[in-house]
Amino acid sequence: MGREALGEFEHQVLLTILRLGAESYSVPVVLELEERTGKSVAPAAVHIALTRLEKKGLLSSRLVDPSADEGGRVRRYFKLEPAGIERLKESRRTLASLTEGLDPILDG
Amino acid sequence: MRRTPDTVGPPRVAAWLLTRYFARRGRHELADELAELFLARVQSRGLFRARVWYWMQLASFPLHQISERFRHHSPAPSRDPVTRRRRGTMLGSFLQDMRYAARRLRQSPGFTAIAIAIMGLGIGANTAIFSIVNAVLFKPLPYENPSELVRIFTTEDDGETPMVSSYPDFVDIRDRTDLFSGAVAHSAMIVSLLNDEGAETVFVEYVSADFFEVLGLSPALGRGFDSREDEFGASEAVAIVGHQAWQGRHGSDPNIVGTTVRLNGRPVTIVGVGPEGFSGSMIGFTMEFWMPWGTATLIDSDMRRIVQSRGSHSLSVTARLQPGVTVAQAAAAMELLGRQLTEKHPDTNTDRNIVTMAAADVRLHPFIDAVLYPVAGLLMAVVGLVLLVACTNLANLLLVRASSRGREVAVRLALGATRRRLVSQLLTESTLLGAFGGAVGLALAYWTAMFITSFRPPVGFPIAVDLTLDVRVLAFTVVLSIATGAIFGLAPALRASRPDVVSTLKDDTRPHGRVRRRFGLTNVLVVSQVGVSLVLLIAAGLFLRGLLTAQRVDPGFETESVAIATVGHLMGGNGEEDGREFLYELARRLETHPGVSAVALADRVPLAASLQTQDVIVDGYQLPAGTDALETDYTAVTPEFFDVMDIPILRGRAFNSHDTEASPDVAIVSAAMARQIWGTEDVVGRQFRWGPADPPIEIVGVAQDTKVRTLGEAPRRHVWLPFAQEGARLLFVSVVAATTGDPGAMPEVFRREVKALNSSVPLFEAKTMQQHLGIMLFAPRMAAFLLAGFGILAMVLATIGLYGVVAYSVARRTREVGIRVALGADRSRVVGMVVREGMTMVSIGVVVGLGLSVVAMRPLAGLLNGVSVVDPVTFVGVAVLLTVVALAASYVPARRASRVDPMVALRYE
Repeated sequence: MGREALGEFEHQVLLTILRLGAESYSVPVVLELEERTGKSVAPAAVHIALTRLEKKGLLSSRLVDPSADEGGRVRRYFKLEPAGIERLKESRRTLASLTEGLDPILDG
Repeated sequence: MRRTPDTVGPPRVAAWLLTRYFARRGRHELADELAELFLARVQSRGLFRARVWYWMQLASFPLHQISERFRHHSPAPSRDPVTRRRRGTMLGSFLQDMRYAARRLRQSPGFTAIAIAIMGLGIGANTAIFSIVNAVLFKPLPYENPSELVRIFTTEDDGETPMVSSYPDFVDIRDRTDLFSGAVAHSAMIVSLLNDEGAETVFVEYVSADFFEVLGLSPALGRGFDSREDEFGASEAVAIVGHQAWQGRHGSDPNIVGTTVRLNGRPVTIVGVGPEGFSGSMIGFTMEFWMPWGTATLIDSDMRRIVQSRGSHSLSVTARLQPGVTVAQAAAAMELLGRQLTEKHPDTNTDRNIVTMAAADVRLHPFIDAVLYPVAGLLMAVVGLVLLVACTNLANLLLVRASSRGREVAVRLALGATRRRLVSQLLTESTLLGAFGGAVGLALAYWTAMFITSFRPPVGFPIAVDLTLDVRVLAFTVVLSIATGAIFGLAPALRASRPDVVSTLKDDTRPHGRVRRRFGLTNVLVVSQVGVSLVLLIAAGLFLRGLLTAQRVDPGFETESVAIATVGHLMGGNGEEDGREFLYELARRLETHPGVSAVALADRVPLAASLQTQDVIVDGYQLPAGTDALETDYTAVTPEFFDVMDIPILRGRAFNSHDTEASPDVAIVSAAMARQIWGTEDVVGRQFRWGPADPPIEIVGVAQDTKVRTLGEAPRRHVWLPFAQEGARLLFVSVVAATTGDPGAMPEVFRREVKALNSSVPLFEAKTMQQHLGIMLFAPRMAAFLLAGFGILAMVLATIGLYGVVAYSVARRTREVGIRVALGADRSRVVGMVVREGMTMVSIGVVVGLGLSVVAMRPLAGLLNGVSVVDPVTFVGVAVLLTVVALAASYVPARRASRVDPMVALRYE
């Protein structure tokens, strides 16, 4: 599959994972997204986006076996691949060049 | 998983369903993650909203997955019309439709949730009833190659009615090895099992030694039976214990083989454990043991006589056809055998035929099946009506939704979309709703079916219905959900795809001709919902009235202070003489008990499930036209019975201690019998006979009429016989005690006394007369309960439907209402106008429903204890109830309409 544009939601998910630190599983991602966007986020949508981003090679994941002190729950941890970070940088550059000089209007 | 007060978990059923769903996709971790999110939501939004949220994830995940799945399937539009047509293949557009439908449903979660809930309730009711019907009537027994199995019955001497066979007849059938590779005889019996607390009654199935082999089953543990154990005169009694009993009573003891149990007071060695999932050849009854015929005679003294007599019919025959032999061939050969047996044994087999049926066509016994199928049909019809209400509701919701989508549809039509594509898109949406409704319904059905079957008739033996989900129930639900979604989505889809493009594009809110017509259809749907729920509620009301009548009926005997025990006096090693002595001794002991004023014995208690009848012959009596015999119920009782039961003797005398086997045969007849046959109650001294060759029986008394078979019956012919002359031959005899205190304490007294007297005699049942009457009331209670439940469900659905339609109509007419108010219309008149619109539909629905009920209730006659099938109280009461509920449903939106601010409404323009 060729380079497909990053969807808005995919973009948000990538940024959230980055914000949450090196590795994260879906629960903090959902909660953080809700916190930051102020909207209700469907766990299903996050799950689908994570799966899709992993397929695109922007994320990678590993299953972590339950350790005794974590309440015995299995979790899938995601982390950004270099390609993912590259895509974020790229879209930020694009956005920056597009918004350059528009601050007076956009901040208002 | 046990929930402690300080830990809160997600709703268990939803969690279970989600776990299943994720497990199938290999994403086990998601269930845990959702549970975490659930807890976070409990903190931020409270328990209730968190639970609702969690349930919604059940739909959210599949919907997201569906739209993700079809994300890349939207074919790029091509300019070339030929390619475009080719690309728009069924699959391509189907996938596109699925994605579109999933997205649209996701966008309006409120509508989606209500639609799924409505369909879930409708489909759930159907799946619940179907899974019970399936368990009783369709679920096959776990036999190997069941199509090779046949059931063989000896008929009654009318040559037609299939009944049971005698052992010698079975042997003749089994000898036809040219037809059958194996044939087995089996018969369920009640025996006493001795345990630590005394004796209890359990089911044992006496079977041929090769029973399990012929049916293609093998014991879970130990061995099957040996062919030598089929021969009479075996020295050691052996049994295979049922798998369920082994797991329950014996705690899955791996060393059970070789241990001994005491059945009917005799030692029986357990040689194996029955197959898992097989509870015997009688559906609904769980066998505790299987025993080969040869050793059955060791625990059942009567069995030797029974198995040797060709005239004693007591067993069922199942056979496996030889390869290449058809059921028809076997049936023809068996019919011939029947005729040969008649010739050879005219005294026992005259007029008896042998009937063969494919095993798949017989459930319990043709005789019982004949009752079960209509009951099942009736139940399915009831829930079918509930589904009809649910579906019309869905159709209504879709119609309303479609009209709010009018502009979108018009734009697409204007841009060149074909109507077919639009319809197929809308249909996909309703089908998807049906499918989700089906999933919810399946979960609801499981509980409902468990709940319904947890009501057991109060009888002394266990009845078990296997409700585990099987492919039949699953297929039923899938077909039902998809079909209802598609069928009831069709009309709304056709409507929605035909809007007046120009006027819709010009103005979305103005009421115009199209809208009026659309209302026509929604009105029809509401009317039919009201009508159908009225029919169900009236049926429930009639059963309730019948129940109340039955509870008020005076059965003609004492019902408050009497307690009954039923004992198997011939078990536990008793012969007939010992058994009789046991009964008298038990009665004597009970009489000395404080709180007991008198004790009697009877071979049948009134209003029991069993019947005892014989034809009475009265010399010189002319039978009424159309009858060929005076079939009469009879009961053998000890002299004290009439005192204990408080049945007045109107003429002559009660029995006394001089009525013995040695004295002349005497009887007491019911007043109704005296009047019917002799035209007077003064019949003391007259005579009747049981058979032409039997000695005459003298009538010594006339007793007041009592209810014999059912509470609703008219006074019957009934003969009372002295227990000393007639009783004690049956397997079970009832001990009836009149108490001065609490009859509820008696069951324990019975238990203690029976155990003290002979610990291996089983107490089959011990209960108060009130509990006994509960058996009579069980069926009408169940019927009233089920019908009321489904009737109320239908009413709730219809009310939601009505509310939706009125609310929608109010929303459409905001401007009109605003103008009226602005022009000075009284607000109460606005309320009246809206309510009137709703009530017009309801009144039509009520009238239609009443009309339907007059016809539909006819088959219930005879089940209602004398309440008329057009009982005015029920008809009027239900109609009023439904009208009041409907009034409330249309009042709420009406109030809202009256509060419309004219300025806001007019600014709309």
